[in-house]
Amino acid sequence: MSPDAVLDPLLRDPTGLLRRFDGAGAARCFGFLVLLALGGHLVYGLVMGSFAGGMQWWAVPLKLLLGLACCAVICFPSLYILVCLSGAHAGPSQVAGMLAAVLALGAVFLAGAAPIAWVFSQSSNMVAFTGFVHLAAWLMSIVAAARVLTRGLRHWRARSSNWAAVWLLIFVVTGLQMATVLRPLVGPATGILEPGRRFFLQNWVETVDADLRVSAREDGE
Amino acid sequence: MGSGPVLGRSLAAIVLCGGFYGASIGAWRAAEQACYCALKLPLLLLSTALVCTLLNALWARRLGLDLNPGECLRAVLLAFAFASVVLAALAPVLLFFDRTLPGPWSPAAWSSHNLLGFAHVGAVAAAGSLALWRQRRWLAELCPRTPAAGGLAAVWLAVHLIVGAQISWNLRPWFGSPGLEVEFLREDPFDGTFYESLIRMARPRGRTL
Repeated sequence: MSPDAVLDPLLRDPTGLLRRFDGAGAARCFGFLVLLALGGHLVYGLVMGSFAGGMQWWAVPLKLLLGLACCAVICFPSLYILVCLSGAHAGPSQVAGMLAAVLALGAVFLAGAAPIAWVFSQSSNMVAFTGFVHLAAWLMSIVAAARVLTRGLRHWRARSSNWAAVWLLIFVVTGLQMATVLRPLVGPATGILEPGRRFFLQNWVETVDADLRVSAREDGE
Repeated sequence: MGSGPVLGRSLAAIVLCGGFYGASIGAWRAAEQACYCALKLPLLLLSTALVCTLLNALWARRLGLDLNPGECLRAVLLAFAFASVVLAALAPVLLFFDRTLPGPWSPAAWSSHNLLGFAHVGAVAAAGSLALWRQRRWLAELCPRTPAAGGLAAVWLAVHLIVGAQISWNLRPWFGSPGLEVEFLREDPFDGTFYESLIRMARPRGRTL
């Protein structure tokens, strides 16, 4: 099996890909999906790191991979329970495969959006604006990857695929908080992690506020 | 499967999964509070089920379902076990927020306290609603000739909410308010009721009832 044998069905026919988790060869397929997820986020992390440069070149891609792995571990139990509640006939290994497929498809879309994000991040000096561009790209990738969830639930004969929306909400909120924990991801860094605990909304408001103050000062000059 | 294994598994799920979720309630305040809550949440669920058994059985008879008190207790414990499993699945997310939001000693402690309170209320409401929905189905399967299964599940929910709110009040503190000591139970856990506290909160200051 080649990586292309996973990427093509992931984009065109997610149901066909998920069918592989019902039989032999599931481990290999899972491995390729994990590599795809890590590779896509690594590429996007480099683009994010290019905004500030310096140590962020290597720190941001590493933090992105760490955050992705932590989000997957934290959100796996809720995904498994919601899949069970939906009535789908899928075991933990099949749900893990579906999660890997969701993350891999999201990573492919993120990597696809990387050149666009790079153009914006190189053109702007505002951390909040660049952060908003990355947030939009990430949300777009999640919306695109949601298809794998709905197809998976349908494939494993779930009574309803509405549970996918519930889990995506949990995943997005966890991802936003994870990005806050791993800050700074966009702006310049003095250390790998910024000390202190924050809620993601508070972090966004403070970042936008700081940017607006800098911008007003520059306008005054 | 016989009623013994079902009861055993329900109890195991309540103790293990309920305990894990309980730990996520107290973990924001301190590790000690997490341990206390891991003990107190299963205790809350089990004591609520036990205290309500008799009334639940009476309502089952009243609504035409042929269930004895033991069967009612098993049905309630099964629903509580289901809710505990759902809550345990959400616990890693809440534990993550416990460890990453401003802590109990920071100036923003009350914001975190209220935000986590809101998240836990949402999680418990979601798990409770799912358990109720399942319980209606189980009761309907248990007594297929009686159409009142939905009504009985609703009555049981009301009874459990009224009793559960009071027992959880007796078992305070859960989160542990910022500034207050970490403790297993308040100094006088039977001083006052949940409902009196609601009346006190709703009453304009300076007026008496």
